[in-house]
Amino acid sequence: MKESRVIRLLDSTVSRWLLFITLAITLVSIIGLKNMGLSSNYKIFFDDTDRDLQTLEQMETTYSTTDNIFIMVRSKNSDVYNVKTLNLVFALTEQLWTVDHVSRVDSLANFMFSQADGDDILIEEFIYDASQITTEYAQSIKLAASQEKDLVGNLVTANGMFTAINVTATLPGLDHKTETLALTSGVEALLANMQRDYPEHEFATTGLVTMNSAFFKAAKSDFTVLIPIMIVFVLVAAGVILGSIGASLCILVVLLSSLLAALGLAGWLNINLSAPSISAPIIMFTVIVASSIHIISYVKRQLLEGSSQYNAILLSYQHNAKPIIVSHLTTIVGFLAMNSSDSPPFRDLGNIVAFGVIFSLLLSFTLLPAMLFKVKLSTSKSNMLNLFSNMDRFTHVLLKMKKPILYILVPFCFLISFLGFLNERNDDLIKYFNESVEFRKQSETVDKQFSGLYNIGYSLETTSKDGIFSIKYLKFIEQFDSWLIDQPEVIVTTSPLHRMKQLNRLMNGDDASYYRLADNATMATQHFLLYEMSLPFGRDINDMVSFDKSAMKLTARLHNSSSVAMIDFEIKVKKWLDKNKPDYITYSYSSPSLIFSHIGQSNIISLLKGAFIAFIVISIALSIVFRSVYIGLLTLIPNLLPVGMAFGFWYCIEGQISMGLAGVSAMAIGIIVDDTVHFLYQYINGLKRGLSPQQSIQFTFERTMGAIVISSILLMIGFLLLATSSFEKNAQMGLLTSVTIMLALLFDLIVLPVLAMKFIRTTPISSLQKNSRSTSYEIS
Amino acid sequence: MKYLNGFLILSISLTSCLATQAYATKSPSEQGFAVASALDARDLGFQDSRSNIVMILKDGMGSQTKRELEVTILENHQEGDKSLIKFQFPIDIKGTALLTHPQKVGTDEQWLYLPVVNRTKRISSRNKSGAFMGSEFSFEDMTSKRLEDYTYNYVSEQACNNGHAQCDVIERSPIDKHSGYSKQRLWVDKKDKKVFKIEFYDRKKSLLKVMTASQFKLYDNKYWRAANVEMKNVQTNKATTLLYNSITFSLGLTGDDFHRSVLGE
Repeated sequence: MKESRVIRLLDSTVSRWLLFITLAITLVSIIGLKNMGLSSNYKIFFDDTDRDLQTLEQMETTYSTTDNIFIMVRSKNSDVYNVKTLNLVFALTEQLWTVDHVSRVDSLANFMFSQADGDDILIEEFIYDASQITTEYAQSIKLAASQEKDLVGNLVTANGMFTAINVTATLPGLDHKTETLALTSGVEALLANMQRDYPEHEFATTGLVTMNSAFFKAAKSDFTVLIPIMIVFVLVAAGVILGSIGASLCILVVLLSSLLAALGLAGWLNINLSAPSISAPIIMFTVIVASSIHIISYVKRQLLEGSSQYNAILLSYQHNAKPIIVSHLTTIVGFLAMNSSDSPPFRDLGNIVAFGVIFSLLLSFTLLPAMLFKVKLSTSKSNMLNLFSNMDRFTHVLLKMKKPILYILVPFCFLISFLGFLNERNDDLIKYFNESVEFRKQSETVDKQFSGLYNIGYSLETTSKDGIFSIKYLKFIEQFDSWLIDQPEVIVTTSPLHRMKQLNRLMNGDDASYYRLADNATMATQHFLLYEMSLPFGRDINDMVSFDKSAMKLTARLHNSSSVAMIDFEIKVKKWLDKNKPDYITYSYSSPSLIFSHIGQSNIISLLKGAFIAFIVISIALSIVFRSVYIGLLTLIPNLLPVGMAFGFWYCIEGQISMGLAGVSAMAIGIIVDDTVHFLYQYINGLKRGLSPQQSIQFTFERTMGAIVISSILLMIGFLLLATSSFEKNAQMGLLTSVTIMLALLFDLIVLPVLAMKFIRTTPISSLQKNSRSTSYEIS
Repeated sequence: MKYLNGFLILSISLTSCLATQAYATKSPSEQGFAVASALDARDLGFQDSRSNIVMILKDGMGSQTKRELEVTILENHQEGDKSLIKFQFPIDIKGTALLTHPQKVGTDEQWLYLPVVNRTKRISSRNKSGAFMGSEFSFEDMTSKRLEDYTYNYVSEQACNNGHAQCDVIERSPIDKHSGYSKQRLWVDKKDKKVFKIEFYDRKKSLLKVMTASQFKLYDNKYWRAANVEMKNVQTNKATTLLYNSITFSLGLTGDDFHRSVLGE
């Protein structure tokens, strides 16, 4: 019955209709590619409903956006207080205002310097006009700047060797990618000009906008570099391995159609590719090739055994439909499990690959056989597939080693797996990119002098308009500020506090002893009014004070920190605030680097949960397929252990897992379980034909081990290619998955046969039995 | 000639002496200049004025906050109009006053009186481009500059004021490179020279703010003033509305009323 069903599926008018429908669905999906884009916003790492993101956006609304480009400038010859460097900073500051989407520029040149002579007060930029810049003036700026708390650590280093320009951007958000690129390329062009005009200076840039553009560039280069390599690799590998150009072209067609359809479907669903999900096509390639290899190798085997090409194709589909379908389904389950992720791009990754595998499954039963019927497959022996034809000796050795394998190797593997639990969960924003990425290099350079990306902004809210001028409130801010400064993580703090004290001094004839808070709220308010009156365009205080002056933002700038350190600091500050703050003050806090720390940590857990669910689902599925809970449970060993060992191995080389890696477990299970399915299916098949367990192992090795090894090697190479990605998350994911697949292969070669021989000695009662009768004739 | 015309550049007189049909033969910059001079000429001779203004600041999220001020202006053809701004609300800044004496050359002279310390401070700052009291108006928006502070360009003739009027649309670009703007585009009523709308373009030539004026009233049978002026920042979605409660002309003020010694009174 089953036989006829499969044959009808392949060779009848039904098949033509199925082919037609499948192709139609595929084509319609492919049209969705027109909606496909590449995202350039770090916020796609978060759901719109993510509370962390909402807090951040709320703060961005109250104050100003945190999208910035931070440019560090250094003179090779001296400190920055010289005519040339000051001219550079002045000119660059002026020109940066004209770059698209720039809403604010802060630099040493336009720092609002205030001084008083009796009742005469001057509040003006350090450099109002380029003609002011002389050697003497540079020295007076040096003297004044070193006293300015808002400058030192923020825009100049204490030793005066480095200065920085902070560019704040307000992107309209209509076309984030175009806007980001317009901004970054505008700034880059300016810097290139400056580098030419001022060759004795060095520049380094970092900031969130730069990071967004780095995400985009990393994704784009992965897409344009890795995918062509992948195509060539697949063509060559499949051609060589299968010994048939025709077969490999068939695979390529299925592959490309599945890939485009999956991406197109994602396009219809308005999924934008981003740095993490850009690895989807590469993973799809790898996974689909590996499963196609199984199909074609079955066909080749039939051909070699003397069937006509037509019969060979029919027979191999007929006899292997089940393992092919099951292995596809387990892979789909594994990737769908990534939906447990808190971070959308990782869900996108899982879904896009799952789409691809679904299309590959559909096409493997429609388009692939249709093509194989037409293409002339060579009947020459392919050595690769016959690696395992004479496995007598190997199985003998395995039999002899049965006990050491069972009682030494397996426990040892468990031991290594436990090391996996010692991995520290960690994420570091800069380390999303590998060291070759310009963004990471420059960010690390900047971070040695200033605090570039790592900070937390605290919004301290009162209940009344103009509430920030209350002395009680200001006293608390002062206390909070000085406590923060004492913390080892903090480099510098930014708030209007220093400015307010400075104003009090200014109003009292610049007497240094008046560098303190005003006597009362009315005084503080009036001082501040004076200050606000003097600020030039775009340099208002709205980035630190809410528009109705009911709240103020205090930013703690931190050293480069891992997500763990960041969260520790967050908790420490939270405790302090809860203990010390007056009741009427409420607070909220956020920053891009902080919310990344959170998503990093929570995503690791959510992805591991997903992997666990995938495990259970797959085990249940296998129990059903093999009609035996016993076998279902037994498959856990060859599938779970390699994953565990890979993480144990990771502990030995890295010791830290980040959010991308947690996804490895889910997707690796879906992939490696395929080989177990193919193996056990053939082994049980052998038993049913009355072969002894040992004979059946030999039978299995002959029939399927070649394809298992080859597909595993293809998968390993595919994922290793991913390991060259400049997006470090993808690279690590690729490396760890490929290690997992290698370990799984070794397990399938060494441990699985022994386990099978030991624990599966009789056939479970199953529908497979029906099959075994019909299969009997196919053995020559 | 420097003048501070009304609290905004909205002051207009009635009669027109420039023949609009002559535009056709002039270059766009000459046409633009012609419209600007007509606008400038309209307001001559108002002598002085005093307005009570409520300023309502709105953020993008719907919150509001309020300021109240009184603005007194003395027409001064030689140096530019003198202005005195007295802050009345919120209570913490009540009595604070800002006196500005524009200078033909060099920095304007400004004094700020702070009642809390009962002192007048002379402020020296060339910056006029910043936000005024945290609003979307800058000092620059509120003090109209001299005619020759800009270069002009005539754009087109368009229906304006929701189709109720016909406007000359001109562009002007500030000569001062410290201005916050690259250019402004003005919709000037052909008949009464009311300025219905101004678009402000930032230094990178993107639209930054749009000012719209409405509820024009005629004072002294001569000067048109809008009672409601809204400035909307299209980049941040914040907005500020100025509501003119009263405007009085020809109070008979003199230079003495604009001397720094009167600030504390």
